[in-house]
Amino acid sequence: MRANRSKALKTIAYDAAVRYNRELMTREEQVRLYNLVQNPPPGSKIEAAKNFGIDLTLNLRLLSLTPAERAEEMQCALDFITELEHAGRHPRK
Amino acid sequence: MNKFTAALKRLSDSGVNFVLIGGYAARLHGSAYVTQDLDICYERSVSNFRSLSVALAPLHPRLRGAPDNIPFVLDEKTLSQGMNFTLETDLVDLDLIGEVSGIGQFPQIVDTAVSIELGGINYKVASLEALIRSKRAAGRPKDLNLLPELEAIEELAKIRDKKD
Repeated sequence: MRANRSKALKTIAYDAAVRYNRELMTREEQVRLYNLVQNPPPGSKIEAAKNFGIDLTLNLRLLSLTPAERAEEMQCALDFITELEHAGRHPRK
Repeated sequence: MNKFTAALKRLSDSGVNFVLIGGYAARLHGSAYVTQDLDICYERSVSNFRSLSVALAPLHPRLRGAPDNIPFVLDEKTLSQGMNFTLETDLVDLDLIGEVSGIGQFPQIVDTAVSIELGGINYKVASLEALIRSKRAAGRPKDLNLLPELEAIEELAKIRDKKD
């Protein structure tokens, strides 16, 4: 009995870990969150962020990626910034 | 492998006990924030000071922004006598944080950390809730500016995970 319970708990923990590392949202979840971002409930943190000027559609897209993909995208952005800085220092005549 | 994951792998391969914090951790949680440095909260123990100094030695750690003529060696003694170090290395800019505002030291932050896989290695990453708490406690404009986004992500994640 105890072994079964332990196995079940491990399975739940494993599922949660897999979900956390994949973070892939279902279509249904994406639609629900998109609607929330477009029309945030009054007094919610989502509304506060929107009023603060945060473009939460960026976060929605990032939430549909794995954490590794989010990190990789940031690296691409940094590489682009480095290229721009380089171009600024060495303008073509 | 990019420079961030290369630095993280080096730390992991050397057996350094640490938790990823700061902007990179926020990014892994879904923030659109772009950061140029890596912040880690490291365990303050003699064995970890050794692991950390061995891991970083080949990357020639030096004090970020300090003049070249200021002598600096990141060894066990230096680590034991300081708390937070802002470093430049051959790979990345690296902040070693011994104590995180609003949370505490490694034992407190690792307690609620989540495990995130990058390049086949699982790293301990500060939870979103811990990041929010630390940003709020730090209270600097650059930290407070991140709060609305992090809090909204937390709310979105809660709504997403809520079963109908």
